[in-house]
Amino acid sequence: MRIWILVSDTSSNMKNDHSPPAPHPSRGETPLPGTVPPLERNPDADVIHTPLEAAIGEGDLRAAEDGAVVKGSSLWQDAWRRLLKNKLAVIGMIVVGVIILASLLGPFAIRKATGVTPEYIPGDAALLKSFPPFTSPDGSFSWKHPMGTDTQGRDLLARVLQGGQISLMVGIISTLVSLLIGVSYGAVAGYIGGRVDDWMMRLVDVLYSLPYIIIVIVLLAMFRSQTPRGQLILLFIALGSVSWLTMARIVRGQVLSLKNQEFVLAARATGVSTPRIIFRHIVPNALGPVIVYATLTIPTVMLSEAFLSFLGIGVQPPLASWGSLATEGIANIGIFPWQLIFPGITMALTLFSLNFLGDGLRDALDPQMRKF
Amino acid sequence: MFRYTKEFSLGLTLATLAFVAVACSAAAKNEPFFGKTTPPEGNVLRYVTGDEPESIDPPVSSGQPEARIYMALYEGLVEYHPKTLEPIPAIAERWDINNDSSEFIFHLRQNARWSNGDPITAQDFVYTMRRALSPEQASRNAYLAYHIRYSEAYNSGAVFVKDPNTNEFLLEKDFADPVQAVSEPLSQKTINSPDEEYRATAAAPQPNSDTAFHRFMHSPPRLTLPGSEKARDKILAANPKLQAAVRGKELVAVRGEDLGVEAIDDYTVRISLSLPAPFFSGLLAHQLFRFVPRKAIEKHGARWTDPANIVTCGPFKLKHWKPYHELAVERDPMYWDAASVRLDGIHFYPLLDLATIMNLYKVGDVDATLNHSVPNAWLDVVTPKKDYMDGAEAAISYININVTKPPMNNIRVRRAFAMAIDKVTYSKARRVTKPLFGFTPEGIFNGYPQLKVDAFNPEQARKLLGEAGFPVTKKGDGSYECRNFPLDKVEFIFNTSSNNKILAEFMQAQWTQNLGITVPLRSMEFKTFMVVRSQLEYQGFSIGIWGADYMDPYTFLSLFSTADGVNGSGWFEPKYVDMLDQANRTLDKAKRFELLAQAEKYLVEAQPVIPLVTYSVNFMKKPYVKGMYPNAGSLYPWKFVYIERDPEKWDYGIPSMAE
Amino acid sequence: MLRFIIRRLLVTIPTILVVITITWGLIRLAPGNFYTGEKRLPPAIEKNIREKYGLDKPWHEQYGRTMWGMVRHLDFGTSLKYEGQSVNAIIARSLPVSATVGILAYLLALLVGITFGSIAALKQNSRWDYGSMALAMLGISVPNFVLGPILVLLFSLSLYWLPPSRWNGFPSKNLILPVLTLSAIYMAYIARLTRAGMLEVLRSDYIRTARSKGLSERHVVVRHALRGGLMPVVSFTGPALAFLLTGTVVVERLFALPGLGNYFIQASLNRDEPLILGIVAFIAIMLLTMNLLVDIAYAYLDPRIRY
Repeated sequence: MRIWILVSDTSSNMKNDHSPPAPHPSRGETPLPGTVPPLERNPDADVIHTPLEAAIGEGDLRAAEDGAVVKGSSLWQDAWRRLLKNKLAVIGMIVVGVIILASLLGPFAIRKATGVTPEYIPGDAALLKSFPPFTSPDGSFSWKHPMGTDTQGRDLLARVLQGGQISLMVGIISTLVSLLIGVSYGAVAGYIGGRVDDWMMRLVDVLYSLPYIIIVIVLLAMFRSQTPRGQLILLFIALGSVSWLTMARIVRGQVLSLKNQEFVLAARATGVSTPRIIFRHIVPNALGPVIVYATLTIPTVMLSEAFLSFLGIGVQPPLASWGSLATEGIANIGIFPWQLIFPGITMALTLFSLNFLGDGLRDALDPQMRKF
Repeated sequence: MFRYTKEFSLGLTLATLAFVAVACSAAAKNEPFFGKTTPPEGNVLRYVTGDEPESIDPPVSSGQPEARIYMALYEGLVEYHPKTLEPIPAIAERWDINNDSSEFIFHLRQNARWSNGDPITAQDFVYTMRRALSPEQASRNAYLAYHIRYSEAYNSGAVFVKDPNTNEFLLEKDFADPVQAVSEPLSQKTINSPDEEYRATAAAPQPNSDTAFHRFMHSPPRLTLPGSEKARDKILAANPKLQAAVRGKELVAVRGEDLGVEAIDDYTVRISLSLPAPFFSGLLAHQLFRFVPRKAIEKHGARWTDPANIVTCGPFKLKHWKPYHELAVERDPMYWDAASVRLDGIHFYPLLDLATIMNLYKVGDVDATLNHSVPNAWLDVVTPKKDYMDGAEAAISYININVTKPPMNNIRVRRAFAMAIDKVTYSKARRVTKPLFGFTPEGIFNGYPQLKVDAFNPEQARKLLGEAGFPVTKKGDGSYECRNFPLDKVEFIFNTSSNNKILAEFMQAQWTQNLGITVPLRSMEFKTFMVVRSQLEYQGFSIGIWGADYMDPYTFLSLFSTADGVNGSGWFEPKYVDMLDQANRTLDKAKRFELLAQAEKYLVEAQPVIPLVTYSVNFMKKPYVKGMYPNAGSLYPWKFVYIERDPEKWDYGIPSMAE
Repeated sequence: MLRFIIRRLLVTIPTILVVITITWGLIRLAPGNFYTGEKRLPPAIEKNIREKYGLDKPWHEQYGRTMWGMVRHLDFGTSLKYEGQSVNAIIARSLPVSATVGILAYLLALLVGITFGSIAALKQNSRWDYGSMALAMLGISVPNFVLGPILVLLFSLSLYWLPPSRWNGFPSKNLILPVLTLSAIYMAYIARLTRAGMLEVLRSDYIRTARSKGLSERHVVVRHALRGGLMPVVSFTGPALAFLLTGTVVVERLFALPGLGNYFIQASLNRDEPLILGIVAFIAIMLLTMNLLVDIAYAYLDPRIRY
């Protein structure tokens, strides 16, 4: 049994103020009740906890109620069926789907209907201000801006939808980056083990403790890019490059517990090459927690982006993200509350649904994690 | 489990709706003032001063937040007038200016004391200036005192060149460029009688002041060379005549004692300048020139500003300082004019976030806020309130153009972009600004002939672009496009702030609509932006904002008079510098302003900048705070400020700025 | 046990030094200096400043001086931006602010979280259960920088009940909103952890035994179920507290609190090298100590754990 030591979670409070750190020790490997062996702590193999490990270990247990075991089908079909039985997860999936669709199609639809793009700033000085929801410039009721307008007179609904594109894209792409780096790094460290593992994990510890803001400032300054799109890509890299650390830890943990199982030993005995063992035999078996963790990374990264926007180093205008919209809303909370409320609610709804979906996925993919 | 989902979502929806209703109604209330107007219990003003003060040692910081704190704690020879910011007597009770504004004599009042009871003397001022300008102090503001004789040389560690045999120094005029040779100011000419130099004033017979130091000041300026060998060799190598003259001579470091500041007696200070500077007495209210206590500094070193050690000379003394929380000052009974100080104390709150400041103001936790604390977006709601303060400000915003890179090195392209901006609409939309056509703020400098021609002309702009090889064509839907304009060669950079963002987005929209060119925007964190801009690591446009250091057009025009990229555009022309020099040597004020205005016109026509707007002072002040005026520099001599408890006498609107 | 502690220290001290070294390098890579301002300084003045702070020395000399001060005297030097203030003094001053808000928030979160979590577990699948768990999920999903301003809008700007921001010592009304904002997500996590832990315990053999022995339901719940069910919460407390003590950037910024997190952001934006290094090192050391304490506490709490 591994020991769980928190070396330094410095960066977690810089990285993302939203998620608290993980419980200690991880509950992911709690043996079934009744068969608890004595815990032995090995001081050499230490692991730092991270905010999201918490979310994996700890469960919303509702799904377990109707999680009857279905026999005779593959792991994936099995998991999918279990997921569909979890109503909250299904609702979450639908809501996320609707939000993605609305973000993709919404701005076009609004343009068709009203001729207004998210970037459109009215040329008339009288319109260059923030109107409340459903209000026309003369104060009467109007359907034109259901969420009102922002400070520059732009339609807030269009901006929230366009911000959704960016925020979701930031979430998904950075998560993919973290998957790519985190899985390979964690798998290699865990499989090779020993001294190499020690050093690789020490590097992760170090990266964890570095002040995130300064890294982002340096990255954005060193690779100055001309276009807003280039800046966006840099932002993905910056966010992805720090979010893989937790992923690496989780994968390493999984690999450690898998590498001495019979199928691996068998593969090794038949002379399969090490990379092939790692990526064809071990990684597929560790994918359950990885996918779960990935769903939970999306909200975290979105919050990190929002936090960077909050500090003024996020996406570039005239593009908007939910984070940058919320930041503007915070500044104007005293007089234009709708500027915070609508992006805030949209963001919370998305995260709410993603969290339910993540919970459902965890329960579906890893029945062992269910406590009863 | 579905049974409850419905109820839950219904509840959530209702709660959200109720909340939105409460929130929106809170915003729409129609009251004469913004938020609460109950005066505080104690006779203590709670003021938001902006950023956390870097230090309470006057020469250290260059910012306005600190300036306002220094104004409570320290006094200079002069103080700012609460409305006009003209110099008014402070530790000096009166002063004389020589006939070409190149030498000043200040008469100190005899009852001025430090907070520990020691008298304040002329020697204290000499110490203050030598310390402020010493290279070890490394003050960021030192350049403000560069008018004082040998101050730049002293501050930059320069050397005089002395002939060891004759003990004579090499003189500047022997090696000067003959073209640049100009008449010497009075302060450097040999004076035969005091009457020749100063206008006789009945109130103040001149002291007998012909000291050795005075004669040294009135001798032709000595030659100074850089202190570092490398820089010196470079100059010598370029000038063989100089090299020959310096060979075998002794190099003598310029010392604080050579500085043109002299204590004639305990209560008389004489300052000699190297150039005529009509605005110099106004400059002396700046923090760099405020008195610092020699004894305390020599005793405690860097720790002299600790609450236990600090000695001050202003109307207030330090009570406590809790960084990022509050700095409290209380009335100082030792102050020479303590009887007319009306507040018992001031609490300065270091806050930066505008929303936080406005929220605190609204609920009545602060009594007045710093300048520009009203976010642009709020102006519609806040300007009709009677506690909103508005006034002309000595600050402008403009766009710098990097003239070193194509296509912006082409004057036609620069002009086209300048002409495509409708400044009038922009300043109307921003509500508290005036459109700016020259490079000096509108309505601040009395008698200065302002440039007032609006160049906005999209038609002409498109034509100019066409002439420069970037034809603009009209598309079917009435919009324009400029196909071959290299979009990857321009950008608009600015430091992140909501107001800058609004500005940049507006300019971007203007260029798109009028020229069919959508310039990419890049916002940067402040320090990154400053480096990128000053080292010209950008292409195209960068935002610029400048506020006056002192009340004279020169503080703006001099931004473009140095070659080393200070201005962020890479534009430098000796002709422009000559024009400014000539103006400053002109004694007649009207004539001088006219010459400055000509230089300004030359600058704007060369278009390394696109002037945008003159700012307005905009801040909030509870009606019971009296004696605080929206002056052009947002600086308030605190001894005039007080809290009025009788609502009859409150300010219902902006207090009159007429004297 | 002692051997364990020593080994841990041996491993983590070099880690901290490496972290500080890389941070030091990063600060150098970031554009601008602490004195970079609106107007570029005349070269003579810039040179004076660089000499005064030793920035003109070769880099290895600067690095050596910084590290030596840190290792030898635990002294991080003097802030560049705030002249004359030592980094240690700044940390000593801002830590109590962060800690007050953090501890209060965690206490509140414990109180509310455990109450709701136990109710949810005891009345599993009732509307109480779903209601509190949905609320918990909401707590996890609403970012605190959205929640905070909304609370301010309601309780300060509309109702004038509470001050909207600023530190005012302890106890004061100023603490209510930041503590609420900060604790929301912890409440939610603790409620979920409590529910999960309690459910597991309630189904275990010894509870069944206790019930069958005829003990009162209240006795069973309070003496047995709650005790066992709170183990996950206990393990959550260590890292959570370490995290809360050292300041949370968003809440401190939203409410203008002079805490450690706020200083860290300001220092990064100001390029105040000694202050950045000091805070990074301090937080790393703090967390290390907290984690070590938690591990030691674990050994005492759970006799099955051996080192």
